[in-house]
Amino acid sequence: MKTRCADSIRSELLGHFASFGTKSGLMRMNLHFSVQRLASRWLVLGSKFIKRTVDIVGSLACIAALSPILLVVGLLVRMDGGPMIFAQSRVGKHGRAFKMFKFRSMRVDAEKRLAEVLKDNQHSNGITFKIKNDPRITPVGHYLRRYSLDELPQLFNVLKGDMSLVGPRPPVPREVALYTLADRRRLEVKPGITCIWQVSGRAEIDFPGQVKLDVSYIEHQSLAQDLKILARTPKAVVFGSGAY
Amino acid sequence: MKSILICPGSRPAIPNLVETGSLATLPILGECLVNHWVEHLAALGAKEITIIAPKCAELVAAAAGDGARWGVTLKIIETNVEPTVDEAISHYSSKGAEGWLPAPFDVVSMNHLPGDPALPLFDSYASWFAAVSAWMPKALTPTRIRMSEVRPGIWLSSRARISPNAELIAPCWVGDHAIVEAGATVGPGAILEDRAVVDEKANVSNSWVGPDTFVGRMTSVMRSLALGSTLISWQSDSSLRVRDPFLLASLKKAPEAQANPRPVRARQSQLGFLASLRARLSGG
Repeated sequence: MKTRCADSIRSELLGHFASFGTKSGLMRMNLHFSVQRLASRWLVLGSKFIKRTVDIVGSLACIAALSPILLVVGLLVRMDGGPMIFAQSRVGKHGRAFKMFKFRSMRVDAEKRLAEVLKDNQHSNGITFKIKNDPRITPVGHYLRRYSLDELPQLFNVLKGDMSLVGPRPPVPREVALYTLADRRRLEVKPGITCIWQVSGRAEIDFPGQVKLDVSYIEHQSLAQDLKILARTPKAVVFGSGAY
Repeated sequence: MKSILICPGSRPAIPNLVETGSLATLPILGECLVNHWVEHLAALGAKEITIIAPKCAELVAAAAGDGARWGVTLKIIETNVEPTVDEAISHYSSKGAEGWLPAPFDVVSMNHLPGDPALPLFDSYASWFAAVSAWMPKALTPTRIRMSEVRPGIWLSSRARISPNAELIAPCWVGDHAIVEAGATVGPGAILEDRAVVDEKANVSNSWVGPDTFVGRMTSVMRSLALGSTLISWQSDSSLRVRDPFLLASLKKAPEAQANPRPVRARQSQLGFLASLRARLSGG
């Protein structure tokens, strides 16, 4: 039995390598190699290509569908005389800084008054920052933040390629300066408008929990997972759990 | 804290690996040597790292970027020759001055992997393979993502594609987007770098298969380093360029146009075919 098995392996091996001597055998093997080469390239580039296509098509569709809301919100924000868009420095893929667009929801001097409110931070780790009843928020800004409407201009960041529709939320440089090397894993991919922890509890999840969920998202990233997160986002926005 | 990294220049003992462009940017277990070192120094508290890159500044800059990935600032200086540690100290640092990492991490010559000074990388192909193999358990650093030890001694990327009919034997490392087809055997002592492909019934043992390298159907790679179409025996220090892409090839470069079967090879193949026919007949 053993001899027969060895014979069959030897025969298959010899047959395989002998076939290279013929034109058709050589062509067959070259074709096989070309197919493998294409499959390998597709495996590497395909997911990137699909994600970028979904980002461009999705952001363009959202901008077109939400343009009346964008216009109304923009006019409301302008009513207090300050700028409509707030471009904040955020940290993107591989730690690179970029300007993230938001509808301005705070008073014009908000950055200057940051030190006053830092002591009221409700995130105990000291890395991320979130407080209820932030005195710097404008009355219009309160509603924009409640329903995440202030985040809508980030659709233009997605079009630009700084961000993706789905990905870990981009942190501010002040937070990243406090990151450990392990925390930096969440900067491995492009940041997103919505992310796994935003649809699973939003600001109520503490920083280590956010890192854990972000790393798990990156490790199992797929189109299906992105679509699931996108589908869960409107519900999280409407009920606004953890947003303040 | 500051530190200086000296990239390896030319190394006559391993000419085929030097041919790839730069030893500092040759991928080792999913990351290039310079990135392994920058991460190690960042973990030790370095914030400013100067990289001395003999004739390879562009490649190093492309691989390591500006250091933002690790929260450090990188400054890359191109030189014509590789300086020694003493020369680097006298030219670029002031020994004993404050603000530098303690010795030996103030000035590091990248002749070994971080934490493994007893295993030199560039003395021979055999020493390179021994150092890389021994480093497999240490490669899972805190910043590593998608790689995990799925079984004792088997490190696998979550993005690798392994056929259920393939066999992985510890110790082995299968990198990102690597493919192992049905009937293939990987291990023991096998390292498949990112995007390597091991075709059906192929066998890789005690070997390193470089990134974007294709190991063809039924091909055996043993005690070797395979990088594109170059096969290097680390045991005998010999190397050859494989002409047939379906045996061993680079998946990145377009395969060279295959000529019609050469007369000698055609004769050899016909003899092989006759032998296989005999084996088939005698096997029943």
